[in-house]
Amino acid sequence: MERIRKTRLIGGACICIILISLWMVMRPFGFLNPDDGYRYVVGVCQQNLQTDIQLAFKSDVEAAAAQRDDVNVLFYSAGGDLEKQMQQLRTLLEQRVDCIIVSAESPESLEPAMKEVLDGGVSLIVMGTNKSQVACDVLIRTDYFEIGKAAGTYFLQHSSPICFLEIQGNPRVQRIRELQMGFRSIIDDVPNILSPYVIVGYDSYMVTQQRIVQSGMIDAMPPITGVFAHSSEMALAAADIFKTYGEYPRILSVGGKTDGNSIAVGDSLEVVISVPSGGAEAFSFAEELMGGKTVPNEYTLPITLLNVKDSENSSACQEVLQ
Amino acid sequence: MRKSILLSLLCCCIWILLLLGSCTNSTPITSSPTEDSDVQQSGKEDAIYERMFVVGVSWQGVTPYGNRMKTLLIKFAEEADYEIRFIWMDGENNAEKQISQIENFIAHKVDLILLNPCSYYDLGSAVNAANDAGIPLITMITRVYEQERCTSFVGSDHKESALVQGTMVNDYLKQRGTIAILEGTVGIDAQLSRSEGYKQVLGQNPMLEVIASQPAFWEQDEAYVIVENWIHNGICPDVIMSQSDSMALGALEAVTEAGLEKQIRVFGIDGDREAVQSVRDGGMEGTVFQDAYSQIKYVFQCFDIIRNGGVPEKEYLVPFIALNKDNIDDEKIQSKLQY
Amino acid sequence: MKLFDNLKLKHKIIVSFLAVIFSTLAVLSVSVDIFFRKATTELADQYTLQGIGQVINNIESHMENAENLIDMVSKDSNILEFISWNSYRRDAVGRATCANLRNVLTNAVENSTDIIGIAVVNSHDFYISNEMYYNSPSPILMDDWYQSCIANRELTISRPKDGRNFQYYYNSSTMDNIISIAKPIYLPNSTVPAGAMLVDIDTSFMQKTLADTSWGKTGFAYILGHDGDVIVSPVNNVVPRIKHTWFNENNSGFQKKINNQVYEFVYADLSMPQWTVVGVFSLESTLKPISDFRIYMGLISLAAALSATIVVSIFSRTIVNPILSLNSLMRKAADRKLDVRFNARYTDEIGELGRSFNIMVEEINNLIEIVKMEQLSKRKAELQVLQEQIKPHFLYNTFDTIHWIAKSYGATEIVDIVRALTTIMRVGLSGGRDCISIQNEFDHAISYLTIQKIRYGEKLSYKISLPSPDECRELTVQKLILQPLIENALYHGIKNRKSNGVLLVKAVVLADKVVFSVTDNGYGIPDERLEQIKQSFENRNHKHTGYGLFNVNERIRISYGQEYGVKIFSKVGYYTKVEVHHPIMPLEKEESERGTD
Repeated sequence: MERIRKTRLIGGACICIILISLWMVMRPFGFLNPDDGYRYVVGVCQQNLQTDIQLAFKSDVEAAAAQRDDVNVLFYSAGGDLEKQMQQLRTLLEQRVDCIIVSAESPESLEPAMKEVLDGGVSLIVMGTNKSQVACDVLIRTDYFEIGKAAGTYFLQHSSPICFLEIQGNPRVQRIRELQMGFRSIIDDVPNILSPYVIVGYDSYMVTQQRIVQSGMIDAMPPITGVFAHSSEMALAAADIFKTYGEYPRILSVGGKTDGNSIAVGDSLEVVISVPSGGAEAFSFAEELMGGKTVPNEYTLPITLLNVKDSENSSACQEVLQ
Repeated sequence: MRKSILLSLLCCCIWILLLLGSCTNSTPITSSPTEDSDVQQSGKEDAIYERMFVVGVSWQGVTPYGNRMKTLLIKFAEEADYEIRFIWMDGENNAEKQISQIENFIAHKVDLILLNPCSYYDLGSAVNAANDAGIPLITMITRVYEQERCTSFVGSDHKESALVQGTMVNDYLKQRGTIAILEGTVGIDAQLSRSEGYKQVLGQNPMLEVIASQPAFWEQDEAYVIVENWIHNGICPDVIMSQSDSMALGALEAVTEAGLEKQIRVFGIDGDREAVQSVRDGGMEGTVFQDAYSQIKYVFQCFDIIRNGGVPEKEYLVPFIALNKDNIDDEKIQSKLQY
Repeated sequence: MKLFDNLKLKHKIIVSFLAVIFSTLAVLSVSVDIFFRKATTELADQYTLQGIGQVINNIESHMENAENLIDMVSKDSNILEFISWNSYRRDAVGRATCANLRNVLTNAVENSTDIIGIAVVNSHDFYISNEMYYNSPSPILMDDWYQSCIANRELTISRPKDGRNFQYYYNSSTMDNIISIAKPIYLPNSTVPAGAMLVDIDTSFMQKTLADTSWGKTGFAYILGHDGDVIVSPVNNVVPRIKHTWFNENNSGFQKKINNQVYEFVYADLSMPQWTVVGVFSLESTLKPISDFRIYMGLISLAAALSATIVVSIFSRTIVNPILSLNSLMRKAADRKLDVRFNARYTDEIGELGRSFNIMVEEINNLIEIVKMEQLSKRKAELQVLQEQIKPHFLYNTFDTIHWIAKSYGATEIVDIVRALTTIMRVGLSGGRDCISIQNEFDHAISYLTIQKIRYGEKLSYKISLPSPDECRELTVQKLILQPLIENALYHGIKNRKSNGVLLVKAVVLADKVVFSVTDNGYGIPDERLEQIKQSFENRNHKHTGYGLFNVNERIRISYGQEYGVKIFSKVGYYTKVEVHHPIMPLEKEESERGTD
């Protein structure tokens, strides 16, 4: 009995050694090593890279991503083409990125592609407005209504009587309507503030100037003493063209680089409502999602008011209106 | 015993050989060197073939009436008995751009240039360039300042359209009421002429009061914004006269949103399909039909004349037709309404 | 080792087989792994580098063509004229120049497969282009491409920045597939550039050449810019995970693990523009054949182990089991169960062993029988001897008395008979010994004959012939050889004669044996009878022969072997001769006799 057991034991040990060595030989070497590549990949899909706010978004995301060396960010922009943007979302899905950040004027129109992204198990962060309703992991809202109100409030506080020219972006876009509604909600009730004029500048410098001139805003009666521009390009266009004609209305611009350098410092350009691009926030939410932490479903970006005249010390005289 | 050991060794050797043999069946990485193949450019125009009749078309922008013309051009080209090729360009309401585009056409040595001008005064250098190069230039829809140096103009008299519209409005308002005006891009012949026409027709009747006037640059969205602003500010005219149907539809949208479509009636010009439908449905009150079909027919007449070495007329004018719910179902007009 | 040696045969075989199989497998796997892995990886590297070389050649030739064209165009007189202006001239000369220039640019764009747009910019901030327009109020001179090209005073290649101000009339999509070449233009005899040319190249030829080249089953290639951004790449889940810092730290041909798979990276640099073409392929799928080989080896070794076990069981059926059964039979035989026999089915060594075993057991059985019988006869003989030993003293005394009385009566015949009888008895007993001298044997025979002569009278006469040298008479032979013969001769030969029966009793000493013979002139023995007798001797069966001869034959044969014994010769009607062949036995000291006289 003793001998049999010994035999079995040794035989079993031999077989075990043989099997283990076989197994180790059969597995590729270094199978226990971790991956070498980027642990996280974030895809950023922007509708265009023409407007200041989109450029600012991209550079903010880049700056935030530079802090971490295990995250790779892929930037795609669709030049305004929605179909192309949906195609880019699908490409990102195919590339198996860990998180996608989408920035578009009307995110609802991208819903088919975004649904595919969510079904594919990729985290989705969408930049939207106050009224956006899309299915995603985090919706970062910019409350344009409040911005409009802030603009109205500012003018209310600082000058009267006043005759306004409102320069809109594309009127079909949700954020423009919210800006307008917010703005009107403040100034409508004030009798000595007139806002009879609205033109559409399409976020373009040249179009704005053309519209201002051809719509006769230069010679308007009563003369325009205040301009509420929905974006910095249009504000700049207005500033330049009015200056050319020797007029200096107060100009308030929504958005623009926070140091105010993108806006030619002139006497006419008063204030910029700095709309944070949301890039840094989007990236930090992406980090948390990829790290497996829970994140809120919605988040509203804070806004600040900047006085351009003191742009060098802009942080010193920020009035946070929210 | 020795024999069996030898036998099993032999078997092992056979097995090993079989294994090694089967391993070479797994596909090794095969190399198939590619040749330097010709690369197809994407988005690049092909070379122009000389046997085709090449026409360069520069639009003022994207307008509904322009699209009607484009559709008709393509249709006529398919039915023509010679090969026509169009090069489409969008001037994006920019004179400089249109000039460049025309100079581009000239460089490409097109056979003919069709120009839908975005400006009345600023396209002179394009006309000069075309003349210098000896390429016929036909202006469509609206004229340019240097029209007599162009080969021809095919379109309608816009002043006439304004007068027709004015008359319609007059009749509707029964000689009195308030009017708001939506103008097209300032500086275009259509706008200039139509404005002149308005001045004329409204000047005739002092009971018609113009309470607001703003250019909406032929854009539906801008018209919407402007009218919405008017209504918001309490400007509610009885009639909105729009220099184009595209703007009229925008105005109609704003009016309908405010619930004032009964009080504020909208008139347009051009007779675009949507506007015609709207008139039928009772949305817009009336429009002035621009006969695109006849215009394009004239354009192709010019083509034929030029191809045969002749010189076409200096202008081909097609009359406008007033449209409102009264005569919209008239059979004579029906056939033209589809274009 | 002792452990192994003590295993059962079956287990020994199995363990040996398995050890051979698995050690072969292990050695093969490891060596294949080491050699082929390295070789295959190198082969794949080379192949990929070849592909990359092709791609590089293709791209560089395209770029060279473009550069040549740009060079030619930049020397055109119309361009130089345009560059020399201070402002955009719209007069006749200006228009003519512009028209010609547009022609030149259009031809250049059309004659090149890759150039999609050219813009010529004058340093006084105006430009001319057929395909592009400038979409911004800022001066063209502030554009990055212009600044860097003028500053570097040489051809610069860059990717168009996002939101570039120069945009296309048609095809207003993003600048994804474009790279821009910027070239400063100098007026003659000037060292300061008076303007610059922006030439856009469509990079779809790069994508095409990447896609057209074959990179193996799982490989792909992409192009990396010099600042680490990807220029052109296929859509997959590997490229986004690649860190561009790897290329600075390593030489071509490094391995990294991505998405749980190991990839090999092979790359080479383009000179113009300064990009890198990177080939990537999955090591695991490239080396899949080797992994498959391992799996096959594993499967086949399992099959081999299985078949080894089957072979072993077959093996054991023909060898081990017979051995085992032989083993058990032998044990039984050792336990004196001698009725076992091995059933040898095969003619191999085991079968032979078995057969030999069978024969051996038979022999043993027979020998035991023989020994039994011998023992039996011995006991019988002993019994006889014993019986005979009981009488001697009494008989001797009686004979003595008779002798004395006879002598006292003067009956010499009785004295002779008694003397002869005494001799017979004495020799017959011989003190219990089996072997006596020839002399004694003859004495016995003579005494017998003496007594018989008295009975037979004239019918019998005899002659005695002893061996000649006297020493031979002392040779030892078995006792009671002659007497049975003589008795036989008397009863079967002489008795039947009417008269003149003669008996010859002789002994001859030859080199190797002693031959006793008793010859009588009786009727003889017919041949069939002779045959019968011979057969009886052969078969050791005394049914058909008298006991006497048989006994003599048997005694001699048992003791000395088959070549000795009784031989009978006869001629019917003449004589019968019975010979006894006896070996020469060494001389023996006679023990002191017990009998008298």
